[in-house]
Amino acid sequence: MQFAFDSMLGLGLLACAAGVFWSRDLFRSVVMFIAFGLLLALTWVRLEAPDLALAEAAIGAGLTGVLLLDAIGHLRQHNEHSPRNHWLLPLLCCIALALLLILSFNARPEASISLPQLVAESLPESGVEHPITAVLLNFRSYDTLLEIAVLLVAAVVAMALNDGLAAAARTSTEQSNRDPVLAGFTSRLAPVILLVAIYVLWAGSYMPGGAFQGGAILAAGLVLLKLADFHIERYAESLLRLGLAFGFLVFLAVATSVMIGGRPFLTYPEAFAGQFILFIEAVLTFSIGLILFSLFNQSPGQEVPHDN
Amino acid sequence: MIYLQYLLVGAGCLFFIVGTLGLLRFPDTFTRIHAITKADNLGLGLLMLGLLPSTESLPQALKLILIWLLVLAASATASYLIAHYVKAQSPDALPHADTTSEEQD
Amino acid sequence: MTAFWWTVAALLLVTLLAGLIRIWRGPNPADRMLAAQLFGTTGVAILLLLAQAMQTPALNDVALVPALLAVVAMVAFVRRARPEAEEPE
Repeated sequence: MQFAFDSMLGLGLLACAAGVFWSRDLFRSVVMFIAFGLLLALTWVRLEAPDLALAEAAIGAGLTGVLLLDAIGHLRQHNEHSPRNHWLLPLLCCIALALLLILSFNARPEASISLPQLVAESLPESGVEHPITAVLLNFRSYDTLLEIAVLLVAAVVAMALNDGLAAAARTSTEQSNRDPVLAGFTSRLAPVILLVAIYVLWAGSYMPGGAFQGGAILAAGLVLLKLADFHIERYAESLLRLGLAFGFLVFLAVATSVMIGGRPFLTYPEAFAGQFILFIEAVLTFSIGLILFSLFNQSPGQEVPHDN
Repeated sequence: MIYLQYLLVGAGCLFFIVGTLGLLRFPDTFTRIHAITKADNLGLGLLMLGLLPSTESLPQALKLILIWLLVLAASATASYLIAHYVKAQSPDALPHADTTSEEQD
Repeated sequence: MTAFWWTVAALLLVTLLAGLIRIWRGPNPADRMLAAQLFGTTGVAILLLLAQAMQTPALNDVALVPALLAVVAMVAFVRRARPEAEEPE
């Protein structure tokens, strides 16, 4: 039965992916993509990677779908349907990449050291109990630092591109038309979303969870608030901008301040590693949430006047 | 106890099947909304009840109940929103459209 | 017991994949979003079953996320997507 489940999951994933690409209707592609995200989360579960499943569920179900639906509304409004006749080159590229991946998978060298074993052996020194968190924020924290930098750059670019549009949108809809049911639901759900985001962050130290997943959930909560016409970002715009960079700055400050004590860049003192990691993760969750939210916040949506 | 679990989970699964059948076979959007709320409310509720005795601890059990309550609230709101939306898009879409059809959560 | 969980999970996966037909056929955007909504709920149910079948309670946390966030896509559709009323199909 497990085999039947897994093979159906794989085939469903392929069918969904094919549906995304074969559909001539953009909206259908987007809904297919949302469904694809859910199936992908299930697939990560079956591959015994619950951390990835958590991230995919938060990003796929919450954020990507929202961004794409928003983009569609924008495209429809401006009638910017692009003709889709360039398919041969992408198809060839995909086939070439797939062949390359299959070849390299077959030709991969035998690992000379066992990384999972190495991680398991040095887990006690890391300050956390969950190996994924230990890798992300202690053993390979350099990667995580750079990822935050990349996210920050993406948010800054989005702001630079859309500043004028967003400003126009902001003035055009001061008067909101809240749906009473949606407003009531959102005002009750938002605290629960915040609580779950903090829980996922906290759980990251001993089981699947962590800053990225928590941040994505936080961002989805902020997006929901904005969609329901609770424009909280307008009350604290400068704070929002500061918060974008806050995670990266704190991470960098901690990473360099340990050098004062004569340690190499990004190594925490063993006795306090757990506290250091939790502190950095909390700040990162906050910043990642704001960064992902601001990517949505910068998109003008339906609010841009036509003659602009 | 195990047979009760089998029964509850099996019944929950049945409601999911019925919900999907309705989604595929019903003629218009309003009736399809009616179909999927079967899966959301009854299916997931029964399934959750059936899974409760197998949970390891009280927090896990409470988490299951929380998930069900969240899905209930979310699907009720989503059904309302989408019914409202469809009605606004095409006010004369259905002959038998009256206000009750959008409040069947 | 585990075999039973797997059977039910597989059955639910079948219904979920059958929902793909509705996403594909439409006919109007609201129908497609409804199918996506059903995907979210069925996904939660499958995750809960897998948490039992695979003996990993952490999956209950994974199930919590689509339960919370599936509605966000629906809200985005209603508030922002604004497609034409009828699709050429």
